[in-house]
Amino acid sequence: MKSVLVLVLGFCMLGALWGAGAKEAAKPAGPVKIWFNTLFHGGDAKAMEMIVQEFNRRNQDVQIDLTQGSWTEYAAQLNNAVMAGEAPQIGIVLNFLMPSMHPALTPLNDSPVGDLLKEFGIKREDYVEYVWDIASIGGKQYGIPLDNTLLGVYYNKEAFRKAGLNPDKPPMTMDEFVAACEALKKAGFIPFHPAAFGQSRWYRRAWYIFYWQKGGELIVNNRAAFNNQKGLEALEALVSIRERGWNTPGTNGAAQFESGNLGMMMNGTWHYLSLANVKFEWGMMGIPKWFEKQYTWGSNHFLVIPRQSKKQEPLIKPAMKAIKFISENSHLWGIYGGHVPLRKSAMQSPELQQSETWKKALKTFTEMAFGGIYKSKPLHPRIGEINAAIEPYIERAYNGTISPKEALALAERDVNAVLSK
Amino acid sequence: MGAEGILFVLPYGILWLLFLFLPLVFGFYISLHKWNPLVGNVFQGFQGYIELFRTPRFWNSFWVTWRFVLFVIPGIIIVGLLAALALHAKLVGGLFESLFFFPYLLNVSIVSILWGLLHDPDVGIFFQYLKQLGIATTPLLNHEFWALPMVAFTTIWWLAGYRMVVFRAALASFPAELYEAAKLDGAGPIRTFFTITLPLLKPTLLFALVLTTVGGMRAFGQVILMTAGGPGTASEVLALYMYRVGFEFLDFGRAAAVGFILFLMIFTLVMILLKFFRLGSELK
Repeated sequence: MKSVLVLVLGFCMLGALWGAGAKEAAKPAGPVKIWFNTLFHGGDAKAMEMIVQEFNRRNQDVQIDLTQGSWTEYAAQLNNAVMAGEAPQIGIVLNFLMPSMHPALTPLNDSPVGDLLKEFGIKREDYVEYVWDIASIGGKQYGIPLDNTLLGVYYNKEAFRKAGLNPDKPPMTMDEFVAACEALKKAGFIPFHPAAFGQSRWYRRAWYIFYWQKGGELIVNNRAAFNNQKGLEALEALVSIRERGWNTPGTNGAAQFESGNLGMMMNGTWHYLSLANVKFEWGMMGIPKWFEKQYTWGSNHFLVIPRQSKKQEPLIKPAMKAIKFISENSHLWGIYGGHVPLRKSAMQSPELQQSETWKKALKTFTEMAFGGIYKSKPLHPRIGEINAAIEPYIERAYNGTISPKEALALAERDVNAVLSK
Repeated sequence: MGAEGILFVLPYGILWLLFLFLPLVFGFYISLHKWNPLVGNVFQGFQGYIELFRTPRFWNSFWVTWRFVLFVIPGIIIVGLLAALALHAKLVGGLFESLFFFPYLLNVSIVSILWGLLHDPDVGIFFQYLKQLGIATTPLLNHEFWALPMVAFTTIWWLAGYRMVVFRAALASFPAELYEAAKLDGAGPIRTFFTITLPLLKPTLLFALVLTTVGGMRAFGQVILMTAGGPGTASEVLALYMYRVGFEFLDFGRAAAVGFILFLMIFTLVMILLKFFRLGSELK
């Protein structure tokens, strides 16, 4: 009797579930929802939110669900999501990660639902070609260039005035830079922070810039190529910032700058929005020519469609529609996110070129990006590990706990160990 | 154990098997591969482990982890025990108990950000006082020797309150007659502590030690948030190194190998503790 009751109850529950399912199926189809996961977390995160809101407002058939994640874990999370068959429909990949990440991406000209580039009318000539080509691997296109991010030197114009410096003529050579730092120091300001937020990766980036300006290369013939006179002089220049008393190790340059105590700070295109509410007048000078060649560190973001599982394939075309919109409206990414858009029409947009962002920083950043000043770290499949092998020693040299010579020797040893795997 | 006993253990046993044992075995399986399912996993046996043992950064993290637990385990246990003894002897009251326990209620992010700010060279009160007293000229979290002890100090501040509660509960359960008899026999407080309190505390102490060892060995949140393993790699513990290998270098096979080594370290240490405390029932 008991078993019969259990069986009857079971059938009732199954029936109820089936009924609910049928009801669900009978519902009128709503907009297609796609998931866009980014790695933006600074002022640019807000900018992407605005662009996505605009897309959602204009498109009733496709709606983007936007999430913005952590920078450091992003690539691994994207890879894992693809492996799990639960990848977002749109993601972001940095140029230097393209060689290691492309197996996790949908080839846009050879997707499971056809040639998306052809269908959506997206052409190489609409973008900065050499950046477009970074995402072309084995004849397949894995991403659409979104932007160029670069490091430049932001400066406090009021501090410049108080130090007797001309805020309209910031220092652009090593001699001028040294003189400016000394004047700022004399006026009671912290002169310069080379590493925005103070983590070791920022010190490494600053050293890359100095080293590149010396004419050095990081990796040649799959071996570390920086333990040489140029590398040493570049690192000594970085260390001299502490030795001259221009800043203290372990400090946060962005916080020092925003409090009005710092004269000059190296930071990226993305920092523009974070400075929107500071209570003093500031400028962005570009990157000084400290040594022989004027170079700055930079990278590119690409809009990508991570590899989709079979059940997600119907979402590929809606995702491409959204990517096209974001790309065509990337002048907004420049205006509100501070980055240099790489779609030619966006770069030439009057709205962008009349914006406050353009006047204060983006014009200079754009000139840097296309004036031969921008340089990316090597597009090596193990670049994450190479960077991580270098940065602790650069930071320790800056802190004064090991000599620059020792730092380069140790970094060379660790980088070669990575490269030999 | 009869069928009933097995039934009682079964719900936990299934969960343990699914969420602890199988992931452990699978983690070990991953550690034997160059793991990238997108392009195909390649079995490499113990090559990943050999590579790790040849990596100076791995050994740095290995020793940093031991240094960290050397500060943290005695720190948490001694501070927690002293606080419990003071409460039990009514040297301090409920307000102290509440204040001492309060940090345990905080999330690791809050604890780390709070202490990170206190140490900040520009706005941190802690650093400013140390500077004015002439004790520190370099921010301690950016000092190669002091960074790790400072993270350990924060961990002790955060976790000692819970150990205090555990010890206090144990102290309250000890029979008063034993203490009265010791008093009549003329035993002083120190002798009473070592001959009565400490032996009776053994099971509680073991519980606290195992908990602290596991927590200390796996420390991650406070390290990444307070120092990010720096300066350089001076405070890069194994859990943080494992995270970097997996999430920053995208090498999950090697990260799994680090994880398995960490598991072996914890397992060995806990076994030594069980043996040292000679608690037969725990071992059985």
